[in-house]
Amino acid sequence: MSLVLLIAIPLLAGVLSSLWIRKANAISAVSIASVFAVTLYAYFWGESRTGLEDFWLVEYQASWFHLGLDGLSFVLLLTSGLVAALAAILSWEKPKEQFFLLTTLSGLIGLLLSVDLFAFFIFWELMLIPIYFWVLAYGKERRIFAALQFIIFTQISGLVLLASIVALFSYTGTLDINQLTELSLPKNVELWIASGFTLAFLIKLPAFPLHTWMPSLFRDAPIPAILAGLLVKTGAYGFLRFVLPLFPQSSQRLAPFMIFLGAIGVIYGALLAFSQKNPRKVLAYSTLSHASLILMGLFSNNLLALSGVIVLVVTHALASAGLFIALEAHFGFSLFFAMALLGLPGLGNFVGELLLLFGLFGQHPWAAIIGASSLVLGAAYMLRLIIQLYYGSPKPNSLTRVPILACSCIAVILLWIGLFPAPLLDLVIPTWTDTNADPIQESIPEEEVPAEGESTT
Amino acid sequence: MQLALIPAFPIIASFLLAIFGPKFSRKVVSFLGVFGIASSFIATLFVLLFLFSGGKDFQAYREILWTWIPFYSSEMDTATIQMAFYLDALSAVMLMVVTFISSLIALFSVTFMEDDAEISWFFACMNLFVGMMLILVLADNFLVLFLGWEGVGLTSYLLIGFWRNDVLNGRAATKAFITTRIGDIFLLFGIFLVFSNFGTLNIQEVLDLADANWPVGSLIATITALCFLGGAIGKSAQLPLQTWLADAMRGPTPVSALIHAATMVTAGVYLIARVGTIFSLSPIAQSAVMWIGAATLIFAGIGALLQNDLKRVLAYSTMSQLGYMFLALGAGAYSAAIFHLATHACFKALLFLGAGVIGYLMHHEYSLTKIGNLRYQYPLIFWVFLIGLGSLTALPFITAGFYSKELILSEVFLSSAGGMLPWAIGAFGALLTGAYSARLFILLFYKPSPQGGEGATHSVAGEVSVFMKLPLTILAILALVAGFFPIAAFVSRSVLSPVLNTESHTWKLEIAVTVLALMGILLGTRGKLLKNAVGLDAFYEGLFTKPYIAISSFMRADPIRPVYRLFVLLAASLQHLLALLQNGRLTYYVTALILAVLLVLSFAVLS
Repeated sequence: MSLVLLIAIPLLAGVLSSLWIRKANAISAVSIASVFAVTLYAYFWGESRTGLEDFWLVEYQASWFHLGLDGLSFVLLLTSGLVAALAAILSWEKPKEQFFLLTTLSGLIGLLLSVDLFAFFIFWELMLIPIYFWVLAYGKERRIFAALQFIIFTQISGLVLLASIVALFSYTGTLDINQLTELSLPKNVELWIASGFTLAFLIKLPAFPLHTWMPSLFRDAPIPAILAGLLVKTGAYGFLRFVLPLFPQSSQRLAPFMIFLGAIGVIYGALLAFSQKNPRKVLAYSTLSHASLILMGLFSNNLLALSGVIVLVVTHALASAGLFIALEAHFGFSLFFAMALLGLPGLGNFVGELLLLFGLFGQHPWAAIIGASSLVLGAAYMLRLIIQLYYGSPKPNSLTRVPILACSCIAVILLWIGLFPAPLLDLVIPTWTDTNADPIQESIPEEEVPAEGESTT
Repeated sequence: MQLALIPAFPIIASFLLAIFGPKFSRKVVSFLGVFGIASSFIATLFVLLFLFSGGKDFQAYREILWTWIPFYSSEMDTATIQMAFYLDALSAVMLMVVTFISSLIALFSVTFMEDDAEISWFFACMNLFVGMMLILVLADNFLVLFLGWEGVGLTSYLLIGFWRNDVLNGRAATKAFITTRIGDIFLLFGIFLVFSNFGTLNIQEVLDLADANWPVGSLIATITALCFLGGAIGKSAQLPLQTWLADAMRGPTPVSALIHAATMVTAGVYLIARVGTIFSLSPIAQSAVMWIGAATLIFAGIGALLQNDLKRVLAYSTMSQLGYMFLALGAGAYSAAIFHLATHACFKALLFLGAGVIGYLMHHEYSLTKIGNLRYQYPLIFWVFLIGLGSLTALPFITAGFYSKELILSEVFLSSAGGMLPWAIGAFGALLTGAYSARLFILLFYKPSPQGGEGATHSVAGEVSVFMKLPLTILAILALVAGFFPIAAFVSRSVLSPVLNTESHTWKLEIAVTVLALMGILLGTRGKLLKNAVGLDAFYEGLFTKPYIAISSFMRADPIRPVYRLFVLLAASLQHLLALLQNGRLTYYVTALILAVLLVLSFAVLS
């Protein structure tokens, strides 16, 4: 039941906030806080720890509406909640935006909890539609173009996703991941369906050459919209949750192509980020570069790289959210988050990139060399951004107290992940590997599957 | 806990200063800034006394703090990377050099930075630098080393670009960071290779495993060693990644003294000495180290002769002296290289702090065309430079530089990896050193002042306080006597010793080098100002930087986007085509309807 609450709270709060604009900020704050509380409650004291072969810590099922919580979704839920809190702080002055924020958050949470692919699709759409209207209503001057481009790309992605889901259903008769992992499809069918999912998630990730919706959106969307809807890598989550576990053979067949795309994207994003004049577009192309690195890690068929992907998904969302807040307003924090993004050891992003590159190097040394070059190119565009913003005529810091507090929180979390990443990895990796029939496990004799992941902290 | 205290003091001080610094008064900031570093020095003293009092038995001490990164591999056996420190004779010497020199320089900075608005940020960065350098030196595994390695790169970046009113400072800082990072990527590849071969990153374990498993001259040993060498030349500003160091001089002068002369740039030397076992397995990499060192020491020596800026002369001199250390490393003379590292830290810090006094008094003017004839006005500066340059030139018997440089050259001559030719290059370098030192000395103290008048031609900005005089005095004494410390013998406890041919003729070599250095001094006294100082970076600009910027700005509009515009055009033209059908004329609609019915019917009939 707590899982349903998690989705319902922001959705209802969003509706409420649009009706009662004067109290919208308070509603938003309370609902995000209760999302945190319910997430923690569900993880540590969740009610239905079901049977042995089930790895969900908490589950809720009513026909197709099947929700589940495990280590991976727990970590990403906390990240999304945090980023949403930042977005809420940023839209303090415009209470009308809280409605969009809360509905987006509701869709995002639902997506992270879905065990059933149909539910996943519904929340996928629920997350994207509010962003479209949000950009349309509150964006900057070229918002219509940006919003239109965004909705066309993401709807194509949604369409492909829906088609693949329908195809999958027509072959298997179920959309529940728990059952799907035990079934196997004809080889070619699996490849087609896997390619459909892959295309859908590539657009959302985004990967080269499907990224063009992102720079214009980043330029013209309101910053909270960017934070809430786009920084948490739902595309990467889709790969982790569905493509890799459900279609192990196909993902191995797709891997060389994906790693190639990733390698191009890493360089391409870094190269274009270097010459952008608008700081937000620098961040957009930097996101492309990092997302491509994540893509390489996802398809490297290696647990070390996957653990890096998970760390990178979390830390990239946090660090870029921080940089968006501090951009042009605070030298120290801009520098801190730029350093995190360019992979400075001691901060969280480095741990992710390091694990990813280590894993990648074992499988595809050349891809790892290209990926590692992003450490130099990333330094080039990030430091150029710092020069552009803060050198010449130094500006005074203009952040108010609440954003400073928020930035400090993210900074502490990034430092914590950078120096003590073990709790985060222990949270995600054991549950993820024990239960997913991913290609990595094929060579290992089947051991008895533990009932639950260790919730070590 | 004892070892962790050493880097902990400056790091904690740095966080306090960065967060609360703007609220503190200047005195508190200065006190905290010096206190963080000085207490690290005191902690070092205690730790070393405690550990090394046992005499020659003591080899090494390891301290594990916490599990840093767990490496989940496919078989679920988790290799863990510990946050752990390791102390042996090599790191002990580095600890002493780093904490002692940086304490003195922090003290010096109290006066030097007294009027700067962001003094708390300055001390925060400086403390962070010391902490990171200590982590680098104490690292027990390659990742901790990499943490410190990148950390010092960060602080170097922050301090070169400390004054944000000039865009050029930001560019110089960025250049330094990116150039050294290119080297760091190679270091990272070296770490990858080590891990994929041995499954561990612990430095001592890796060295043992490499010694046991890699045959001498094997390809993998050579590639790994060359990767480490790539990292080392980036940090230590050796050819071909040397260009950043001269530009780094845009930072405050105490920073140049600490980071870009005495400590950080020696990290590459430390790294190679640390993984010397791997280099000894690869004669190719070993000789690469030697020839890079030899080339750099000549190149930078000539560069130093061609500069018109006090700090840039010293920067090129630093590169050149680092070249000597690389020459020694390449010949296998690790302890001699570390010995020279220590003496060089003393006399180069002295010279840079002397330059700092000049900058402090002359409103940050370092151009040799604008300052000069300082002999009578500032006897302090005169003596500082006399001792510092004397030690740099290795004046025989009375200076520290003499002992370390002679040790390097004689070991290079005698070692099986070195020989006559590297020795001759080193000796020629001594001639160059004498020449640029003497030229600098003449231009600073004996050249008539550009304004023509003798004596008080310069307006003085401030008073040389005791905080400046004390570090200068201590460093001056050290620049003379540091050569008598048994550093080389002490370090050789934990590094490999060179393979020497025979003990003979070293005194002849010493005389030859000394004669060359004196000839250099004679040559240098005739040195003049140059019309325009030579820029050696243009080559790199043309080869890498400019093409990258050009490609990047050429592609700024994102060339993928027009592809999607094609779809838009396609959709638009399709829409026009379809719009033709909906033209509102009833006749068309009826015709179309009839045609359609006929078509359907004909299908039905025919099939």
